[in-house]
Amino acid sequence: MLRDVLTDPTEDIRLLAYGMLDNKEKRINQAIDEELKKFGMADRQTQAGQAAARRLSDLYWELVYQELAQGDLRDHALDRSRHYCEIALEGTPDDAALNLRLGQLLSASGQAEPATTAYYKALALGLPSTRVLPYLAELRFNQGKFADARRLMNELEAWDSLPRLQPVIAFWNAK
Amino acid sequence: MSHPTSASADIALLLEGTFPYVSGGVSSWVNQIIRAYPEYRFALVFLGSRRTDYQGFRYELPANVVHFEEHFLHDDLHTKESPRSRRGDEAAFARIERMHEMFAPGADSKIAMREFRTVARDMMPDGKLTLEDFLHSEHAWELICDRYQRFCTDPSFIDFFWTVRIMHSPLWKLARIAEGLIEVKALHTISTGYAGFLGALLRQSRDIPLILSEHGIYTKERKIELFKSEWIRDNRNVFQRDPTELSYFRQMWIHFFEWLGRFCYDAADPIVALYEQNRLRQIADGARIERTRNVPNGIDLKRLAPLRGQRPDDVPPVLCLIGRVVPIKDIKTFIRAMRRVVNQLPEAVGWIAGPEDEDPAYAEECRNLVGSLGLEKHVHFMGFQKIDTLMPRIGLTILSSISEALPLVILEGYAAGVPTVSTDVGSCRQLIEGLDPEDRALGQAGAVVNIADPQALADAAIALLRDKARWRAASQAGIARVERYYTDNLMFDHYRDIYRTALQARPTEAC
Repeated sequence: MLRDVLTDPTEDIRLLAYGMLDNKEKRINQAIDEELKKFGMADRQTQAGQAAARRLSDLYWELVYQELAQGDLRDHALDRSRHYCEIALEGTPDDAALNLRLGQLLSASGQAEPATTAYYKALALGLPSTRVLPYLAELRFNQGKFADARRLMNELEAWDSLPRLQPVIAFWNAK
Repeated sequence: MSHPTSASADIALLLEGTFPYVSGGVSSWVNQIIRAYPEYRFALVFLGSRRTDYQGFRYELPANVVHFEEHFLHDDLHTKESPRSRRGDEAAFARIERMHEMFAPGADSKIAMREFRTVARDMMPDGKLTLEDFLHSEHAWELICDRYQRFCTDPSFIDFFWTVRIMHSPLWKLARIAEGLIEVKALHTISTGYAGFLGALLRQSRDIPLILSEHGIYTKERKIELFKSEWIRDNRNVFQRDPTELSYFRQMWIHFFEWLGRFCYDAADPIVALYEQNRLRQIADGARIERTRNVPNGIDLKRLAPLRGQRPDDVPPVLCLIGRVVPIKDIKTFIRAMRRVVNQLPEAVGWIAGPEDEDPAYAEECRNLVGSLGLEKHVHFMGFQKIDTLMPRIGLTILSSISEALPLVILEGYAAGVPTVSTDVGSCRQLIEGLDPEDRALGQAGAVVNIADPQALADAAIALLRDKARWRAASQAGIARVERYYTDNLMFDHYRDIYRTALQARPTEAC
């Protein structure tokens, strides 16, 4: 919404929106700079290197998730997030949350099959369905596989999922 | 360093945060103006924030600058005497209270201005309202407490108290500067804000004419800084905070600068804008319409036109942002755009030609961004560069600013045959696409994009760099436009009239 306001005819409004967006983005980029320094100083196999890689993957993903990066910059952020996610996975290949992140990154770059594999691995490693299935359903939806999306949403119905998801589940389960 | 001093001068230029300490568009303009009128003797009054913020002159003072003085508004704000118990002048504080009541939206701004003029007079040395009373008197304390309780939506009294003090203290310093200034016949301030307040004080106390030339709109630029600044505290908790409402302290700063601006508009005649949109904004901010006029910037064609002959046959794939590395130029959007430009045109490079010392923290953020986008080989920070050596080596001038007035770099680029891609700010659209039908018929001298849209900025630049015929047409349109509408001679004629009128004004006419 802030991005739309950047073209508002009133300059004050444009500038206010710009200031708000800029502050959000600045906070993330400052954190990225700090973590890059830490990562640069540590061996990537060490605990410190692994922790920095994980944080970097989170932060670059945040730029994408909050829609602060668009177009080529979004691609770049996805690429970086995946790069650091893979480094973190070298250390802890069976980390469920990292596998979920890898799935999200692959899905956002349009790589449906590897994304599916990563999502199922995250499930197998013990992440609750409520955290994984919505992303898997989104992926199927984007692939145009609506029946699969519906099936996954049906599965979710059996779970006490987040209240925020309930309207979506209800929509897909409507007879 | 010793500076020229004199007992008198013709025109006092009031310069806030610009020439001769800071390089940039406004400073170049000031330099141009002083040198254009060797027949006048100028006194320069430089107002800065803190002495440590400025390192050495960026310009040599022209020979007709007979007097130079500098003042730093945030240094030595304390009083000479130690605090002691004092009551403060009852009538003066009652007036301040009335004035602030009249500042409220919807109140009669004419009455508010009348009160403001009287309060300003009281702030002069020997007036009833002293800095000591403002800082240490019981009346001041009671007024601050009362306004905090009635209006402040931020819970922190301490922050409110210090905001009030820091905001107002420089005004007494300005009153002392006004008192001590040498004898001059006319005043010319290059902004509203603190310099404009000083101009209005002098206009009022000495009855000499005040000319105001605004490049940007000061109040607007301050707003940008305030919207972006993180040093202003917001102590509201999650229940108190309405996300659509600015922090109270931010609003306080904005209103403060708005009223300083009105005080200056009230005293100045003429009020000069660089282009129509800004003139309308001045009127909306309180300037009287009959006092306003436009005088656009102009450049020295004789010096820049020969640079066209030095250009190589092929268009260099160099995108050059010429400007200070400060947030208002939004250098980061240019850097981000370079990510896409390089993805599409791997041979392209981006140059950032401008000083980095004004906001070192921002410059650092920009450098970090270059690193985090993997653009170290493609984006170069060049520092301050001479236009004459730069122009023949670049393919496009780029402006990614979130706010501009009438940027000289676009005109200088045109004169040297370089088209531009700019954000849609200030007069940039007018400069690129033309204003009236005759101007528009000259063609587009580049492209205009929205602010903070790196993808669009990149695509517009790529389109021009890839298509030689299109680039040539844009270059020709720029040359034709600058030659017809934006030469320095046109501008000098306007200011010659303005100065002549001001210097001939008799005291009664100046009122």
